[in-house]
Amino acid sequence: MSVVDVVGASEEKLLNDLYPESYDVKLTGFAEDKAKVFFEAFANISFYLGKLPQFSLFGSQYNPESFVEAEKGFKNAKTILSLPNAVKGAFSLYETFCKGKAEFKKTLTDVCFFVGDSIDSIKGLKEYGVVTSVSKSTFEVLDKVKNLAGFIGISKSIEDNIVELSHLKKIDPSKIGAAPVKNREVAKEIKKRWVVSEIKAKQCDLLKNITGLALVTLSMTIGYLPWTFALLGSVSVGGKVMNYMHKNDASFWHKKYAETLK
Amino acid sequence: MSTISLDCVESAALESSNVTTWDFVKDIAGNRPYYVFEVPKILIDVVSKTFSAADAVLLTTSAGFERILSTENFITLFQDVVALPAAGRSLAGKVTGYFSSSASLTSMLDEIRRFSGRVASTVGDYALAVSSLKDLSPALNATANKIKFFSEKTGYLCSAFGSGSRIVDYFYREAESSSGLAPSAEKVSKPIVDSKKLWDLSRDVSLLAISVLSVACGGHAAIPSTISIALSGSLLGSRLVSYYRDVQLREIEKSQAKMVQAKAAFKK
Repeated sequence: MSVVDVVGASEEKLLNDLYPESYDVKLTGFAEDKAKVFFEAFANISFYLGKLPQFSLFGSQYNPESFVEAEKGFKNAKTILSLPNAVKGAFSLYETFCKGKAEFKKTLTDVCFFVGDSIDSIKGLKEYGVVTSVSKSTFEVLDKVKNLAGFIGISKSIEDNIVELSHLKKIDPSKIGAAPVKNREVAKEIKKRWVVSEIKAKQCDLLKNITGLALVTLSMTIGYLPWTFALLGSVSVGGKVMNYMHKNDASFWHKKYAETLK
Repeated sequence: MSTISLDCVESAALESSNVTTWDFVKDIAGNRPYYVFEVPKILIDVVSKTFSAADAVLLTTSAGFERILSTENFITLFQDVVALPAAGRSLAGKVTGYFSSSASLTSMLDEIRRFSGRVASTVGDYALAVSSLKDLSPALNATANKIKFFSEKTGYLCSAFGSGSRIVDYFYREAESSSGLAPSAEKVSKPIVDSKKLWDLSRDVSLLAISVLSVACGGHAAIPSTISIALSGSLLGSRLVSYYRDVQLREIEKSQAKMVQAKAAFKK
């Protein structure tokens, strides 16, 4: 059903003048805000390119080995970018403990993510030569702790996603209450788009978390499987990118909805 | 009643623009990860320089941070490449506008300069990203040499042109249309927008100076350390304050949505 079926022609004109940021603007913002995911995506792309057979193109030799190296490099860059997340996690935990009123499950999730990010940071700092004194056996232990922390943290996030999604799905966009609006039909349509964007953002977050949980579970049980990890990792990156895009749209439609109120 | 409501909007905008240091640091850690590495890197460099402390640990740490920071070049290159089609479309619009007499020659030439600046920045970032490949992994040095289409000097020259073009924009580009905020909130956000533009200008001037000096001295590493630290510090400072202004503007925008809804509820 097109917009014009729902609202009149004049309202359609009003709606057509509203459009969220274009994909290139959102992608630019994404690369800057989520540098870690950016490198995760490039590590995955390098993995696939590294699996292509060696061939010659325009007299130049295509060497998959370079992409294998690039994949390692991008993975290291991704790992080190956990340090800022660990710093943020430390700040949040400090706040939680100072205020002392956070729910236990939320605090546990925060602790788990903080532990995971901190262990990744140590690994990254070692890769970049900033930290030198951590042995391989210590890393093996830390990896197990990280996986366990990840498992607990992501499981709780999935539960939150499901609860939030069920709340969002209960919202009826056609109900805008008795609030005075400039144009009722336009307001309804904008609210619908806002709710749809919120739902899509949450679904992408859920997808990201489910693949994350699968990756952690595999790491704890079977171990590293290159193709499985690359494919699941790609789905996870897709979820993160689309979550960012839909969140951006949702905040745009939220703002526009507020503007339709008198 | 409308005066009271407008005052509420203004005070909400003012209140939300008071972003605390604590919140700002958390925001940076979440959204601008490279600043978290840049601050200690500059501090280490300042300590090494001030106390002439060529301590092995400090040097290793500084080199490690340098390698981490160089990976940001991949992000800037990606951003430039992604933004190019839109810039191309904008240029095409101006050119067709000129031939259909809806745009002046000056505005078309201005758009050509802006587009050339973007292409130059992309070339500069490409050159820097290629030289950063070896920081990603030393084994990629041979690959870097294979895909090095521009020398580092050309890269810095192009970056200088790109920064110069943005500086020209600051002085000559017409003011953007209204932000869509309520007039009273616009009153609060206007000085913040102006200040952000000034800090962006400062960032571009620092970038221009770094690029020009890199060309003159024969590479970034050859710039005298005191000048290099001062310029890096000014670049980081400008980026930090500009981002702080961004966060303030974002908070004002958020408060607007909430306030308009609250106002509607109040009227009801």
